[in-house]
Amino acid sequence: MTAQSLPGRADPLLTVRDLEVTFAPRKRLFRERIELKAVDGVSFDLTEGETLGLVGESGCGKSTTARGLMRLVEPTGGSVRLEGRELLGLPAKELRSARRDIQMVFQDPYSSLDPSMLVRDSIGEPLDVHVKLGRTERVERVAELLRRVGLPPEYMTRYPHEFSGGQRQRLTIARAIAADPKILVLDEAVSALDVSTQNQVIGLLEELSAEIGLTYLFIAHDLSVVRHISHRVAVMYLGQIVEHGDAARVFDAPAHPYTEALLSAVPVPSPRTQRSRERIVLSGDPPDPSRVPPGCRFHTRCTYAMDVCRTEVPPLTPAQGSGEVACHLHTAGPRLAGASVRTLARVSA
Amino acid sequence: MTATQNAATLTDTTLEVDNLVVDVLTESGWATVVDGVSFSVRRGETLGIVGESGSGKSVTCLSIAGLMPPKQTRVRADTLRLLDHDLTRLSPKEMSDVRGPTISMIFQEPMSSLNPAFTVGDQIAEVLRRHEGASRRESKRRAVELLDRVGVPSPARRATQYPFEFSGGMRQRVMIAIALACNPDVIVADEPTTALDVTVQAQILELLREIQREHGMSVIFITHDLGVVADICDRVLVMYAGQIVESAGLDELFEDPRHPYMEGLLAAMPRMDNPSEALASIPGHPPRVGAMPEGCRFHPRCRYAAEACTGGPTPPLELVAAHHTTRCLRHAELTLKGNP
Repeated sequence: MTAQSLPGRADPLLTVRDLEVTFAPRKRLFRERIELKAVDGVSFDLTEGETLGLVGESGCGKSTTARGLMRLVEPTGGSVRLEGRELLGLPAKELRSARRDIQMVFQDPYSSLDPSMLVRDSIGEPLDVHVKLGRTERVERVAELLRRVGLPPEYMTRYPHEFSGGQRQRLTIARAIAADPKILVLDEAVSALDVSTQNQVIGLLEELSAEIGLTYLFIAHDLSVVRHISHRVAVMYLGQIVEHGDAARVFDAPAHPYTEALLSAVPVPSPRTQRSRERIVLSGDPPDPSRVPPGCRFHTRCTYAMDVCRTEVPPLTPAQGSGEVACHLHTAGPRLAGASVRTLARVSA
Repeated sequence: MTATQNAATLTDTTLEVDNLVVDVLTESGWATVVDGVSFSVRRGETLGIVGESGSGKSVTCLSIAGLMPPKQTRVRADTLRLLDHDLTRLSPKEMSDVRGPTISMIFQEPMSSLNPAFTVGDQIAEVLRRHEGASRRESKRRAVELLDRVGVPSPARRATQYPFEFSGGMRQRVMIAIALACNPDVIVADEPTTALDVTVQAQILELLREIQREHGMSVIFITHDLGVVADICDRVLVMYAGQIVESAGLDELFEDPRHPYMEGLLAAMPRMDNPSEALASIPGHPPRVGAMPEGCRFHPRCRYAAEACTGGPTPPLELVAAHHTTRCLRHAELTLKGNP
């Protein structure tokens, strides 16, 4: 799979093509050097104002994709274009100015705020780097940012330890939007929060996107949250996107067996529904990314695996409704031609 | 709640807790974090305990198992009975003898519960030697058996490996093997799947169900995920600010919640099968330890709070149907929305 593309609607804000991130351990005498391709040819577009959800099991490369496009880890191949400007290979100084447009929020609000810095200075730091305001203007701007994320401006003279988890995540969001970025990359940004607090933060993100037209790359392992917030969804497995499309299409008519299994594993908070659901329990863990199976990477855990899956890499083909899927079920054997795998499950059951 | 109100009167009770109060030493002195918790668990039953972080669900179970740090904790209870043992009278040494064969725990983070310097097999074998006086050889053999039982592939080889060589899901299987080693009557699972992927979570929940079917032990399942509760529990306690605020059978609790907090939790769960609904949230934060509100502890965040809720003593847990209790003064007037 080399060219995976998520065609966006209008001119995309961010275009990622064939992104590759390889981790190679240092050379050691008498030891085989095993390279690990954490991200192996990922492509997608982000259109202004939309939210793209990126899902998959831990180790599938979703966080590394985000870090790669931010160049927090250096990609080993591909291209990342922000409004047509190539970010990969950009010298450090120019990269810094480009980063103003694309900011990141991490999972743990406890470790992403400097405990010895006042809130005012934590939030003001990106302003110092990118905007350079006078002292009073800076204070005014921080106050406005705090108000925007639903916190009283008086909080700017406090330290991070005085805040709860939810409030801290609001602070990191305030800092992320300080220099007016166009894109926020949210890496498990609400995962550490209690459900009620989590919903407040999601509400805030939705407000911000409506008010200042922010675009999100939303990475999370909680599929219910992803479904709620995303317009489009991409499903990753072992460093590659195996399926993508409009959120409603991917969740209601998954075309890839992995998506189907992933969705069926999410318990629904309703005892009656939960009892009546068909569950597909995937056996085993995802394979070691340094020893990727040949053919389709998912065939070792796939209930539908055919002979062709063990040898041939499936190409990306259009899925019915929207998006694409990389699975031989759509090109060989019992042909689905882009339809949901669920239709197949019903026939064979 | 008295023991008779509970379903505790049934004969096959493995654990009975009446009026458990736990104080912990904080910077500003002793503070009550579990306040008058009563419940019982039957053999073969899975009892869920849900609530936000800090609601006292973990402290409740750690205190029962005698695992809270003794110098910073005071545990009192009218009844704390595990099978024939009166836990209120046991010394820490006696408690430690009782623990393995009767009650064991599975924690959220298996990496920090396993010793990185010993092989997995050794750690399982240690439990068997400590509690059953098994020989070195015998305990090693049984450790491999247990690994096989919890679905660890090639158990004989895996028993000689160290925890870092295991994935998160496999480590949690090892923890379950350790918990099962002495065939306990009660297993306390404290957020055992929270750190795992949904696919692995489904495997672990299935394993717990299977083991319970075979051995018929009681399981106390602590979680904040109502989806997991709906999947695995028979009966549920809802905790808020150190107290039980509602308890009921699984279906009844979800279909007909009688406490506004439970209604709020249900409404706050994002649903994959119904994404269009706006995400509700319960305003505000749970109260801080040592600063409990007067009256109903939930009233500052409750949309139904009336004058009567804001003062006086905490409302009592009242029986609203068979095996269904709630700690809400207005339960008779309110029609709350459930999640059928």
